[in-house]
Amino acid sequence: MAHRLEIKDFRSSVATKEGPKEILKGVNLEASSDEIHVLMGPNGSGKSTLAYSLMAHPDYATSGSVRLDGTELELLTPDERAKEGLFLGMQYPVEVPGVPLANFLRTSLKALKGEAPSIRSWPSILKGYMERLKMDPQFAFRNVNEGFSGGEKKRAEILQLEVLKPKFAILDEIDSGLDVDALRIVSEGICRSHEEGCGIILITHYARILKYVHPDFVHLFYKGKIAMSGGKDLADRIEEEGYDELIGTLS
Amino acid sequence: MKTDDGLFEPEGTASFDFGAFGNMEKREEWKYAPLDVAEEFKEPFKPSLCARVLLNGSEPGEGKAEKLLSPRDQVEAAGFASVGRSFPIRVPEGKTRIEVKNKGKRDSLFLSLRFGKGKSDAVLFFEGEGDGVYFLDAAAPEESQVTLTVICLGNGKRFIYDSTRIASGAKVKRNLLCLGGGFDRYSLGAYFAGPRAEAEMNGIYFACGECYTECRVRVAHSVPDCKSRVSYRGALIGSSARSAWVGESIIGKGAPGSDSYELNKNFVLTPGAKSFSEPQLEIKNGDIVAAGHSSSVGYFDPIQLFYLRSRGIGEEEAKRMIISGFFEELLSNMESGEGEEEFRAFCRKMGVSNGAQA
Repeated sequence: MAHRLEIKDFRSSVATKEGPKEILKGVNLEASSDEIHVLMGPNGSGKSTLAYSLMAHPDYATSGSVRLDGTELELLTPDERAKEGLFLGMQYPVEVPGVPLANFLRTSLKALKGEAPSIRSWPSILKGYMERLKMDPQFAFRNVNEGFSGGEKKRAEILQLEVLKPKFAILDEIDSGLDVDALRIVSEGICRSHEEGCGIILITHYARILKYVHPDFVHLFYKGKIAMSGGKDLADRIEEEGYDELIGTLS
Repeated sequence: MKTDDGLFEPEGTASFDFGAFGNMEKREEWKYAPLDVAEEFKEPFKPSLCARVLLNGSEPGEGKAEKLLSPRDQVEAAGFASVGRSFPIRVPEGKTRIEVKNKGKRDSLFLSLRFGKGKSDAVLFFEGEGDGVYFLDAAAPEESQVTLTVICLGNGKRFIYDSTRIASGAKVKRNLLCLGGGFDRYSLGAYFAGPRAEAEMNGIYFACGECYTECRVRVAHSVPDCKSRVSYRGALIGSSARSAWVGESIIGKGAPGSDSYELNKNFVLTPGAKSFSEPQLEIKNGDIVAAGHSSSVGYFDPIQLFYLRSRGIGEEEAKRMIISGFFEELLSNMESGEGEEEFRAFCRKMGVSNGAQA
């Protein structure tokens, strides 16, 4: 059965010296896990704020409603949201010194699923996932994201997506900084997750990833809300006309 | 100033006379430690002889041992005047285990460790609830490879004065794990006595509850082409926990080609806990390879916590992983099996894990 994510009148503010500044100004979006939604928009339109706010990042104060399969997430902590099945793939994955990737993922699996694979079986299970993403198996023993290149960090995010198997993944600029081969490999990982039942909300600046990840819906994000929605053709229009011209047609 | 042994003694008061140091309250070396504790130790006392010393499980013989350098603070001078027993110990190649257990009253003793040529790996435990002033002099001969790990456990009030003389071409690794639950003021010095020698000094301290831990690390470069690396990390749990770290790196006029770096990082886990970090670098020679230091006192990084929590890991567990990770790199540098074992046991007791046993 498909999972359902419903975002209603979702607002988010960040604290500034002058007081709270509202960045998300009432986002409404309904998505099913058998769909791929793509969010595109100019710099500063609030796309990343949406991604982080949905995962309860401590920098943001939010209001409105975010429901996953009917469960209200709005008052839940990041770990509680993860347990409900939400995943955030970050644009800038965080380094965690001294914590090897394999330990981190196994702890995460235990937290999410209630039990972790046995210590004996875990290395070969993880190796299998890493091979699909053409990751050097040695990365499993390296500290989370420490010393990883930009591309390796993004692969590690997709590795986590594939291992943790959430209901919905919000992927924030997962394609930025990737060379053509890495882009294809990361895209394949996203598609595999989707085929296994994970709903995808992909935030991107570039239509090039859409060659591999085929969206059902494309949304144009502007000034903290969804300003226009369409199919793949909207991404093509953005690519051809640019944001300025498209946004001009809105006013 | 140089001793008969050719060692370089930094400037400042150095004397075997405990009265030579003046008013403790005004002394730089006592600006962090609670003086009410130091007060009990500022004059010579009758040692209880309670501390038990074991060398690979057996009691070593007592004998005469000579202190390499003059005391540099009042407690050191008074404590040395109180020494009841001295143990000159020849440390052979291979592994050696030394234990100093004081379950009784205040004691003072002196351990002199003379390492052999070749590769030696010694671990020294200070344990027990008994108070004491302890002296440790180690000497690494030419071209030797010495690892000496000191692990402080138990809840006593301890002042430990530890110096290592490093002869030419020797490579010395000095590891320190201060995991006691009482009062520990540990002064550790590395003194190069010949060129091309190396000192790697790693330390981990954990100040919990009401506990106070002070580590004072000195490296004296007085001969050419020596290299020193000092890396200490500390964590504080409990609003009354206190720690201080003073790192002193001195590069003398006669030490061209010196290469020195000292680092101290502190992790304050409970609001109210206080950690002081003071790196000092004194360079009297411009003809060096490098000299640097870095020091920090910080709290949890909210972004790191968010990242772990966004993967379903609860706040407390995420914090434990971050703390454990903070020490992990240093622990692997120590390459000390027993040190690692003790630290992991301590972490288990404190509920700290980097996820390995999840």
